[in-house]
Amino acid sequence: MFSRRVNIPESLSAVCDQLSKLPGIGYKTAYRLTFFIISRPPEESLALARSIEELIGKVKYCSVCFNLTESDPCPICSDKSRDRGVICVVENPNDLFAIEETGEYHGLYHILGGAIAPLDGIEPDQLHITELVERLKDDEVREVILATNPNTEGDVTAAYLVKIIKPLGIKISKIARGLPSGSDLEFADKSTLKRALKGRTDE
Amino acid sequence: MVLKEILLRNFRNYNKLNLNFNKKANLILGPNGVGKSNLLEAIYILAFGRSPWAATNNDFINFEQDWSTVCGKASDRNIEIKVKFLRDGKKLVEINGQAAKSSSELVGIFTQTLIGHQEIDIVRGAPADRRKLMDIHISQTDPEYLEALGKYNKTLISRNKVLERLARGGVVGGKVLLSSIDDVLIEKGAYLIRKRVQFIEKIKSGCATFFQALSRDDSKLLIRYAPSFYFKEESQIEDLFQDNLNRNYSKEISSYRTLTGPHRDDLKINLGGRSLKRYGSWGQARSASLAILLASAKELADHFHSEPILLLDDCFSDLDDYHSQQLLELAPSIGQTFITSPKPLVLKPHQEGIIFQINQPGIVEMVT
Repeated sequence: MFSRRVNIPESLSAVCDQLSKLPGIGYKTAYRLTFFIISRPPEESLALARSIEELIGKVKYCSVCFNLTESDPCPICSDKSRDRGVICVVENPNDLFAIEETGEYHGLYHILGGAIAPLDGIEPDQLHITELVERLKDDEVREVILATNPNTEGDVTAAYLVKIIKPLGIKISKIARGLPSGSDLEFADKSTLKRALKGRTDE
Repeated sequence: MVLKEILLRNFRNYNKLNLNFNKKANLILGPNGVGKSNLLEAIYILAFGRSPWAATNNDFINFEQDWSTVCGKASDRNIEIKVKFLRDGKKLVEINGQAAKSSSELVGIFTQTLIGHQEIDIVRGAPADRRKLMDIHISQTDPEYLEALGKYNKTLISRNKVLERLARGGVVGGKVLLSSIDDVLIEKGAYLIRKRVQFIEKIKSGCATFFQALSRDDSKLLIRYAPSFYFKEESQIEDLFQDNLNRNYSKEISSYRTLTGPHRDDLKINLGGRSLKRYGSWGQARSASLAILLASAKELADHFHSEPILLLDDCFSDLDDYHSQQLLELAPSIGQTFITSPKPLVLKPHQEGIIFQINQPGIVEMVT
């Protein structure tokens, strides 16, 4: 990583190496972060280390929906007040958090763990699709909402799920795509605007 | 939209250049290698965020500098576009001071038709060149087309990859995966096909008219969309696309290639009932290419009810005097025209325009 490693303590460059493996962090940022970590009071930096350790030790994937959780099944799956007749399928846990933040959805989730991407070598058997089909055999489930990302991989994944779920006779819906709120109409990109117009609803 | 003013900093051989343009004809004259086409390239960047010719972001930046900018202002509605290139390959696009997410947001603002060496040979060139003509023009009037095209191309590569995996011993649930990819491919592909049908329908009569105006030839130029599979009604596209994919499956699995779809479309161009590509003379093919390009620019004008920009890069070298004069009159009648030429060109007395003379690299003089 550094051209003249000799001048840098080994434990320091070890932290740099680890940080630079994180997404969006290049070696310069990793270097800066490492120096920041070492310049802080020791207890603060150790708290970071401990919280990472705790995260790894405690957080697991929910055995039902594959959400990140400390208890299994996760709080959402074990929440009796939620509508168990609807399952929203998302690619990743952060998609679930985004939908949960809206407070609009009260059903259950299923996290696929990614999207079908043949170019990156991700095929259906690497995602939690069989587990989803297993869950759908429960008579309680009436509807599946597909909330994959609006890109090629997400589209293919949604098309695949439709093919798998249709024979089970369960209602399938897809989330609508439209305008982001908080931004002016004139700044919306034209393609989003066009789609939002197409998918408009009656008042 | 008319380009009123351009400002270049550290762009190719221009350290700092500020030019005001005429809304009709702008002739850029001077010997080879002084940087005439660089100006057209800069104008093209305002429309598409990239060069029309193979060039990386780094190529634009003046050798001694770390960054380069192209800035353009429109004469109507205060639109200002700025594209900045950085040494590390990054590109920043601003529309009216607001950062754009990607350069695709530029497409459709300064609508353009480029007529260069490759374009002028569109009739005799490869099918890919003719698809590019359709794609570039439809994308400028329909952002959804540009998005569908991007997704179609990516899905196509994925499909070929899955074909290869199936041939080499299989994927779990491979057939279902392939048919899911087919669903997306057909949805996006059908959109592209319908838009191409409409586009050719719109430019058809213009092609014939411009050809006659350019060539003194009374034969009728007929341009026809030739999709990779035949359909009678537009409502059949999805089903027939699927049928063709199914029918070709055994061939596709052995070649890992998708044999049907808009990526195999072409245009059939006939003159007086005969294929121009096969039987036409060099001059006829050139006039037909120009006619198709002018008609496409005209379609941009009709769609937006405002002038498109026509970039004519060194198109006059092989045209005789009659053709040159005709082109010089026709192009500015469609939209704001920028013409580069190493040979002197003159505007007719009734024509509005400016002449820029570049005798030394980087030094642009206005002649009136």
